[in-house]
Amino acid sequence: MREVIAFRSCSKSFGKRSILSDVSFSIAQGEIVFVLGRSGMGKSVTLKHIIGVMKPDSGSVEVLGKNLAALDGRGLSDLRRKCGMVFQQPALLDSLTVFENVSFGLRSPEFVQSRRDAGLKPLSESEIRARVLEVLGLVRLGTEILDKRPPQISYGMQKRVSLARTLAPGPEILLFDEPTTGLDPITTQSVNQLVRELSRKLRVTAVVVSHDMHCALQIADQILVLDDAKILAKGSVDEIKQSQEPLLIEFLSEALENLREVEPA
Amino acid sequence: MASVATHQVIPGTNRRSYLTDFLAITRSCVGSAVRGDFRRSGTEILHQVSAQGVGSIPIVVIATAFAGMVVTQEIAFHMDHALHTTSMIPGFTAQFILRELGIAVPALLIVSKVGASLTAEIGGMKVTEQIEALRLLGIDPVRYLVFPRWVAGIFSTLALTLLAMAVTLGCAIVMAILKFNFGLQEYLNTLRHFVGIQDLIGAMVKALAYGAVTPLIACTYGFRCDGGAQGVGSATTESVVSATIAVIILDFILTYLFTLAA
Amino acid sequence: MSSVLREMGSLALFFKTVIHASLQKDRSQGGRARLIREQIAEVYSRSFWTVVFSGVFVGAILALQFNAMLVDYQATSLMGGITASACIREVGPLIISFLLAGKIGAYTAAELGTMRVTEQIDAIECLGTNSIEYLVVPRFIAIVSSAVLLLVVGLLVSLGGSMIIGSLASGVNPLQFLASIPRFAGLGVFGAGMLKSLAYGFIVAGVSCHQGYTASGGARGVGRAVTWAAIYTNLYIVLANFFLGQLIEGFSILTEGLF
Repeated sequence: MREVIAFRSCSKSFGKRSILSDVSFSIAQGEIVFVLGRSGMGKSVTLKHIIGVMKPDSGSVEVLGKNLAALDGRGLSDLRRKCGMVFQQPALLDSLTVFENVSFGLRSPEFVQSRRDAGLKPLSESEIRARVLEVLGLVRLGTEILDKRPPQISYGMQKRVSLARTLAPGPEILLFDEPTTGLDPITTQSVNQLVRELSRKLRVTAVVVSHDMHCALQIADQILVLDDAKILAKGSVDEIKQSQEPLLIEFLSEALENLREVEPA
Repeated sequence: MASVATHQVIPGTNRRSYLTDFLAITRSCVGSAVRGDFRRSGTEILHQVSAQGVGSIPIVVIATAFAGMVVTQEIAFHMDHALHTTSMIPGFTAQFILRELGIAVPALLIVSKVGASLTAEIGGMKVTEQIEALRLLGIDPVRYLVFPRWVAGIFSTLALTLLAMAVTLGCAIVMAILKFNFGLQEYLNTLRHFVGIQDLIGAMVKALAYGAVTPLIACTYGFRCDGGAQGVGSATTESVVSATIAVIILDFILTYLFTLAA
Repeated sequence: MSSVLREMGSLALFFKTVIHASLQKDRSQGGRARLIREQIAEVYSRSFWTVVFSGVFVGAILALQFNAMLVDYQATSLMGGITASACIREVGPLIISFLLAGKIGAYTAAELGTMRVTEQIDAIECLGTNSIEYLVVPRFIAIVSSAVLLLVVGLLVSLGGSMIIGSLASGVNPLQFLASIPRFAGLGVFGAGMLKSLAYGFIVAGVSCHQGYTASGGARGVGRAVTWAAIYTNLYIVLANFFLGQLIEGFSILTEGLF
């Protein structure tokens, strides 16, 4: 299967603190990969490297076949468009309606430019509206919220709208920064299910940064555990469950205590 | 410790108006002062004086130094233009500084620096539920948080105003000597004819008023803060604006009263 | 001290970025003009009445103070002129800017700061829109242009306040008050006042946008951004006041004979 993201021997330090040390892994097309670890262990930093906001001190990062260090400004924004980032907070613009928020990415100068570059005309208003309705449907939201503003809808709905907003431009890679942190168990479950469903349906690669081992065990194709700037464990759910690493066993036992199987999609 | 919690009136709850909360906090602080709570809050007061007062020294000194130079220049220009004489520069300058500029400028600076940071601090505590935590521990948050900051505010404002007047006057004198060829002794002599102890007292009264009002306004906004990051932001904004207007209005009232008295 | 210098450097870079972005072609198909219009309306609705209200009081205070000083010299007939001159040259721009710094500066810092700590600015960037062009430039332009216009409003109101108090408290004839103005406050003085307001507008806009845009650390971060925006704005205004004053004085000496 095609390799879409590859870290080769990457190291990154902030002053004396080493956040990543000789980290290597690869992610294949369509995989759901969870990057786990305790707080401050470099999970967000990993995401930032993927979208090119940070560069490693040594080693290289390749995304969609291109070495990030070799890309210029134009190349980087091209790449960022293909990666959709879902932040920990919904981060919706309060002064805009839900419709305007979801269609934001379809009206941005870079998106318009990229369509021109590909020889396509910019999207018409009706095309934009159709796309917005489409992605809202994907996150199981209806048309009644289109004219509402973010403060008027619930937090759970805001998170879904935020996801729809990221999906609208049609990214190939989805990056999630702690999507279920701070949510109640029921909402956590539904967000987790949604991530799996979307990834399968849209055939996108999903990289999920989280500290929720439980969610990972339910839907991940590959799990990466970061600890002390290194990769503590790397592998499929089964491989992780059978690992002998003591720290890992500790992570696992907490998660396994509360494990409930998700209905197969 | 007596269960203070049941008898407290907690500002910022139960949808009361700003004025009600403001009066409640004011009453609490005055009550603490009358009761002589100074000893109990002593260390906190000192800490606050250091944070508010000492921290503001650089900006007050710089700002008032420049203001002093500008004032001399302006008055010289007007005197020259209007009355074709520069002999009154010391008199007018000193009068203006001791009656208005030397007090209003530090006051406005303090309002923005201290007022904003007090609101931000207490507002931040409110949205992270620390105020609620204090209350549940049986501690009156107003007595614990506001009173030391209020006392420190009054003291710092008085001290900073004195400092500001000295610096402003000093720079004004330097400017006059360098640019308009006044002699130091000459300047000071003329000055003595124009300003007296009553101006100094008036200045202190104004500084006291500003120093008392600003922390109360700022802390009230902090206590009434809600809504996370956005709430803290808007509370701080409102606080700075309200305090600035309050200072301007107080300035007018006190100036008017002093003019009548003279 | 070094952190203040670092802040100044960061602010300078920010100014450069914003000005560069303002000069870019509008890539959002006319959206920018609309954003600017919206921001100008925001600024006015927030600050107009505050300026009017405060202007009256400031004018009144000046009248009381100057009257006390001029009475000793029996020069109260000059009160109009001197008050107007002091207002236009110094006090007007200064007070209006302090108010703008509070009302608009703090508000902008809070608004941008909140957007920053709730990751809205990151989201905008990831979706392909330049956040400086979309958020900062319209606010910047709106604040700078409003500063000058609000100054005119504030000056007129201050003069009104002075006039009223002058006649009520010291019996100065309003007509005499007005008559003495032209002698002191000519075109040059007015120009100087405008220039100062423009400069202060830049300061308020730049500092507040910068502090808000670079905020970090949740709700506390927003509070910090507003606080430091207020402090730095006031500081820079006072410094600018001095240096502009020197500049203007030098300029007027040079062009003495020309007008």
